[in-house]
Amino acid sequence: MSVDLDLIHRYRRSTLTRDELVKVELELQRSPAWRSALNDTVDAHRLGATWAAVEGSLDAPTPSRLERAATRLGAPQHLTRIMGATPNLRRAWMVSAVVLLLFGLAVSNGERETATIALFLSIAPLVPVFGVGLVYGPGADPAHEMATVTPMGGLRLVVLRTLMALLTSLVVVGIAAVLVEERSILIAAWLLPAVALSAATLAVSSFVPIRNAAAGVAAGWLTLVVIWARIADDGVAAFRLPGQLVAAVALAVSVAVIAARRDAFSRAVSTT
Amino acid sequence: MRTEADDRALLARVSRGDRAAFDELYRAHAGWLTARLERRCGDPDLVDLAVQDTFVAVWKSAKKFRSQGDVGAWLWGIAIRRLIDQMRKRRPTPVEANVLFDQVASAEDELFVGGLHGELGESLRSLDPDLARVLVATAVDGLTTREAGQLLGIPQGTVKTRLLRARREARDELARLEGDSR
Repeated sequence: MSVDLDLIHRYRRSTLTRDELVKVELELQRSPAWRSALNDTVDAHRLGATWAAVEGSLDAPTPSRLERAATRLGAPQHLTRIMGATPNLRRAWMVSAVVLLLFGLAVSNGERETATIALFLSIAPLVPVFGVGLVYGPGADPAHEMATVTPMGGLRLVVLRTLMALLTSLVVVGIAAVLVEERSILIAAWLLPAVALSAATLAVSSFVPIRNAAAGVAAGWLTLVVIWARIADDGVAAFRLPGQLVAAVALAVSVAVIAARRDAFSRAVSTT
Repeated sequence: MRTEADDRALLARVSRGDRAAFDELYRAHAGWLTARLERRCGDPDLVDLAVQDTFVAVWKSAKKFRSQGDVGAWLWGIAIRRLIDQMRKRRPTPVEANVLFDQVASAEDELFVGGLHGELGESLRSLDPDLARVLVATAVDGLTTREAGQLLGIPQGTVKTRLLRARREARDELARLEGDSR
């Protein structure tokens, strides 16, 4: 049946009788011609605005699964976006962390128990250090320049990302810790050093590029562990109570340095 | 003029990520969807949001369209539900603002214009506006009783009761007509 334009126009102006309205509704439900006639009555400007909104949401980045999970847990969206804006090396870092730990476990298998646990404890705190040093910084983050000049840049960003790296590391290392055969309180002894070393890396990175900071802290850490073990003739000497105290002091000093040099972060991270 | 086959071809291109086809689909359908949604919701901003959501959903799920169906009816099914979602989120319109049937003056109610089709037209003619609204939401818009309740701002139970009443009145009317003809 041909389109009754008068009905269409009165449909738009809401001046149909009920019967007419029902008729138009039924035609709209099945007739392309009626739809087309009605389509032409709607303001193009208004439809253009809606179209712009449609295009806008199509082009908006879809949040990653990690981001959505964090948002659901109550984290503010601008934070999840920044933490989730994953530098391309993060996956590589996760894989190398796992490989590193498995390697450590494999070599020490069959050795004396102390050797196993000493190797594990020495490597474990370095995982977040590598995470911080390798993953966040120029060359790893494609949006690095932009990140340093945004209001969220500088210290806040670096600390947020460090916490992110630390948290993921703790999960990986925690799983590995369960795999180590040794059942001893020592198995948790890497936690404080891990946090302290991450903080130290950040602190040092206010003076030198973050990669160098990470490498330096890692080298210093391994040297300390080996020398302490030699002197005390105990493979896990650095992880006993005095060692933990040293780690706590190092953590406090690092935090103090970070706080004192907080202005350096908007510059230091951006220099290569 | 455009045919249903055109629309299906267009939608097939959209499902392959063709932005030009999507633009064309929008221009062919956004207008009437907007106008028709306005007969169900008095707030133009909500209507525009619903149309926006509809096309975002279409872009993402064009593949789900059955290749033999009516594209327009499919779009309408999405649009009316997006409108319900928007209204649930912001519930700004009291029941009275539902435009469908509200503008009908009672004197005009008695007018018979003719050209109504089928059982729906028959039963709607003599029904009071509340029953007619429920019938349109379920029979024309194809909503479930739950969705119809959300659209009209009434509980699902009320929708069911009104549907039963509408059906009973239609049956009584039919019986009366049959009795007259004997």
